[in-house]
This record gives sequence, C-alpha cells and structure tokens, in this order.
Amino acid sequence: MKPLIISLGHRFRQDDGFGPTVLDALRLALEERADYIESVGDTAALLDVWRDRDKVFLIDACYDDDSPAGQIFRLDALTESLPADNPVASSHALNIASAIELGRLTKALPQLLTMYCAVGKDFAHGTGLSPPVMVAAERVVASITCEFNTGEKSCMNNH
Amino acid sequence: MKSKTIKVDYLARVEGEGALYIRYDETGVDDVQLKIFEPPRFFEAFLRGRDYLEAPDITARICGICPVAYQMSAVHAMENALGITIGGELRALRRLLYCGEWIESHVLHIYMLHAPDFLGYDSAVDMAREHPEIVERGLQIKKIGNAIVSLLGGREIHPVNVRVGGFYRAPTVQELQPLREQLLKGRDMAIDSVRWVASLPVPEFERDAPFAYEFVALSHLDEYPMNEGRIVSSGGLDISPQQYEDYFTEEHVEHSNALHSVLKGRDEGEGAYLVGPMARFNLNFDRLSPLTRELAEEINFPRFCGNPFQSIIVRSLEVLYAFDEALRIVDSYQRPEQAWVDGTPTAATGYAVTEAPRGLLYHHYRLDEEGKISAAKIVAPTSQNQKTIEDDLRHLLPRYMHMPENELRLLCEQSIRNYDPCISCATHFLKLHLEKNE
Repeated sequence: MKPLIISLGHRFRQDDGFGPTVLDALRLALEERADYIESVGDTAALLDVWRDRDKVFLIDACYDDDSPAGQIFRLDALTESLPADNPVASSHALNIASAIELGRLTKALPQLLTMYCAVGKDFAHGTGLSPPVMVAAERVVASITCEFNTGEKSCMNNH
Repeated sequence: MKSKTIKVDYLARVEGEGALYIRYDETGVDDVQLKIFEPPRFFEAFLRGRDYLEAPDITARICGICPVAYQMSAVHAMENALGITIGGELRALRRLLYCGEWIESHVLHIYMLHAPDFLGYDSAVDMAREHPEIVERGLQIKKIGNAIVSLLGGREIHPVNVRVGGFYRAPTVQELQPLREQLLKGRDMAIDSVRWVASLPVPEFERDAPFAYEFVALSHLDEYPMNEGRIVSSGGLDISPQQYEDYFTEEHVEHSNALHSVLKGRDEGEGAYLVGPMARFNLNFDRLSPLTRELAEEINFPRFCGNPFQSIIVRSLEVLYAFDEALRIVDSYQRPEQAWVDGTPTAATGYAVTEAPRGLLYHHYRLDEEGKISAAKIVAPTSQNQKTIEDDLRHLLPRYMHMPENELRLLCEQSIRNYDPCISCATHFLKLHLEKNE
C-alpha cells in the first residue's frame, strides 16, 4: 500500500497553512507514489483513514513559545509522545495527540507514523506563510521527498 | 461579602478556542462572560468578488467538523438567488449527505467530547482507558457517518462533490447499496447508544418562566428538518428564511469577538434564543421516525426537553433518526438523469437556512449580473446560542454554589459543552461605522 501523507491545519490561517502548503508541493513532487489527505478539523476521522496503513506522514503547524518560528520537529508519533495539551494552533475538536492516543487504545494506528511540525508565529485569518515557515515548508518537502527516494528515515540533519 | 471568580483560560473539548469568566458571590452571579478570542472570521469578506459557484467550497472551510452544513446553506442560498429548484433524487441525496454529517458530528460530540463530563473523566482518552468498548462503539458509528460523507462528498475527510444545482456526480444505485449493510449495523449500534446515553447521570436544571428558553428551529410539514422549512419558535415565530434578518439581529459584546444573535424587539439584555438538537426535537418531535419515537418512549424521555444537560440524549436520538432516514433514502434511490440543474447568473439576492448539527445556519448572498458575490452574511449556530449559554450559567450557579470550587468549574464547562459550541464558526468580522460629532 502506498504511503499516506496527511496535512493538518487551515490554509486560510496564515502559518497554520504550513501542512496544506507542504501537501500541495508533495503532490507535485511525488505524484502517484503516495496518497494525500488534507484534514481541516476532524482528527477523530483519521483513525479510520490510517488504521490499515503501513506508513503515514502527518504534517502540521505548532506553537511553541520557546522555539523560533520555522523550527522543525520530526517525531516518531508511535514511540515519542506528544503532550495532550500540545498547543497545536488549528481548531481541531480533538487534538492530534488525543487522536493518536485513542488510536493506540483502540488498535487503530498505522505501522509507522511520522510527524513533521513547524513552529508558526502568526495564525490570524489570511493566506500565505511567514518567511521562516515558508523556508520550513521547503525543507520538509525536500526531506520527505528524499525519504521517498532513498529510503533513509530522516533526510534532515538540522531539526 | 467576598466575591469569587471562576476562570477557565482555555476551554478544552470545544471546537475552536474560548475562555470563560464568571464573577459571583453568595447572593448570586455578578457577571458571566464567555470570551471568544480567536481572530475574527474573514470569510464573509473573502467571498466578495468570488464566483457564486465557489461559495460551497470556500464556506466548507469555515468549520472542519461541519463542512456539509456550510455547503448546504451556501448552495440553497445561491439556488434561491438564481431561481433554481432542486427536487426528487437530488434533494434526497443532499438529505442523505446531511444525515452523514449529523452522525459524524453528533457522535464525535457525544462520545469524545461530552460523555467524559458525565462520567467524571478528563478526556475521551481517559474514558477509553477504562471503557475501550464504549469509545470503540462511538468510533464505529462515526465511521459509518464518514462513509456516507465520503461516498457522496467524493473524497474522505472533506467533501468536494457538492455544487450549486446538485452534485458534480450522482452515485449509481449499485454504488449506494454497500452503504445499506453498514447503515443497518449502524442503526443497531445507535439504538445501544441511545440506551447507554440515557443511563448517564444528568444534572438537574430547568429554566421556568419568565426565564424559559425560546427554542428556534426549522420546521417542515413532512419531515424532520434538515435542508429546508420555515423558521419557527416556541414563542410563536413562523417566518421564511428570507425574513430572518427582519426578526433576528447581531449585537457586538465587548468581551467577545463573536457577535451575539438576539431576537429583535426585546428589552435590552433580552432576546436570547436556543438553536440546535433540543430546539429541533421540541418543535418537530412528531416528524421523527417511528423507531426514534419508540426509543424515546422506551427510555422515558419527554417529548419536550427543557434540560440542556439532556441535549446529549437528544443528540443520540437524532443519530438514530439519521440512520433511519439514510436507510429510507438508500432503499428508494434511483439515479437521477442529471447530476445538477443549471442556473444562469444574474444580479440577485439569495437566502437560506439549514440545520447544521449545532443548529440554524443562515447564509445570505448578493450577486452581481455576472454571478460574482458582492455581499455575504453568515450567521453560525454558536453565535445564536452564545447569549443563552451565558444565561444558563447565570441560572445554574446559584443552584450549585454549595459544590467545591473545582467541581463547580467543571459543571460550568459541561454546561457550555451542552451546546457543542463551534467557536471558530461563531467568530466573524464586525463592521464598524464611525461618525465624528462636530
């Protein structure tokens, strides 16, 4: 089965559009080599979507007071825990950490779940990413494309 | 006398972001503010200059939980403007799609967001650790709602198949048939769900006259309301969607980015009303399916519900109804010859009200002669309920003031969740007109 790439976040909320921006670019770069889903809120629905998948990538913006905008985090979401109150900026009814934990408890997780987050700074309504988040988006696209091409788990050496 | 405050800086388990501030003392409640601090919505402005055909897809992005509701109100308003009438199977398919969203949204709220309150858990995750079978059932029911939306919406997660005049593509009878088995299974689980929800301990709370609720919902002669009908209320209102702005207005309140909707012509500070499952149920009970009414009777649920903490039971009954209705539609479906009805752009104004899972969703558009949107107004259910949510807290606190502070705070949060507020839907931009006195 093809890998599945899921973006979280809202493309009309500036830096929250990080996920959809990366997704759009990966669609062009990887074409038929992956499946793509743009999720804008119902994270509980992801449990059905990824339940039988081998490999899933989640792309989202996050907010972190202690990190500069554009900072990228790459997490193995099956072994590294996200805080339940992780202040992901999008208005997800069930935050992504809770969705993953529910997936664990109900045995509805994929074999591999890799999450790329970039720290955003402006989540007001509007389109376009701030410059550091746009740079982060380009780097994540390059990293995931490299991962597809080489099979290397992480093609990113500075995160 | 020393006054106390309840502050919740971040309301968990509501869609969007909100905060709650209550000041009270032993004699009563001084001040209640449900604060919405999410940035104002720009969608009404964003729509200006766009083609009328774009409205369903753009407005669907206002809420990640109820995109179908926004699509439905948008297409109906555009069709009202262009004089397009949708009937037969296209109308039935829209109703089926709405059934899918009601199931998804209600079940998410019942199992993941609200039930933990009744059972004393901090979250659905905590509830799932001790009752995985309950959460699993919720997820399975929700999955069937997702399947309906995926099939008719054209893709998983976010529907793209809806268009002004109908659908981009109508499914074949064969494509709908696999849903039937799932719907039958889902209906059985929905029955179990009603029985389980009815067993939850519900706080006692009613508001008697002169503080009784004014329930407002769509009402249709032949069916439980979803896509169309007249706007009626328990106070005797009976108007068309075109008359909405003659009877309702939005007020800006200082503590919130969202506008509060109120009934016009009421004294200052009054005019609150209640939309959503309780209003639909109370005003349309006799149009629920026989099975749904039978279940309501089995659990001894009154045909008029005045306790908002019981809204979780009403939601579970509406989930059952949605399965019943979806089965009826699937069983009688014949593929229409055309997937959509064409319209000719013209300068016109259109209005529509549909029943989002959370209640009335009003759209009003003005189009120019090329079919470009020159003005848009959207009133979401949460902004219509917000004043009632605050009033509930004013009436609730004096009855439960004896409780330890932490329990009282949790009860207040639970009371807000009675309305399944979608705060990101409720916020939109207030246009200010400034006039300088010389």
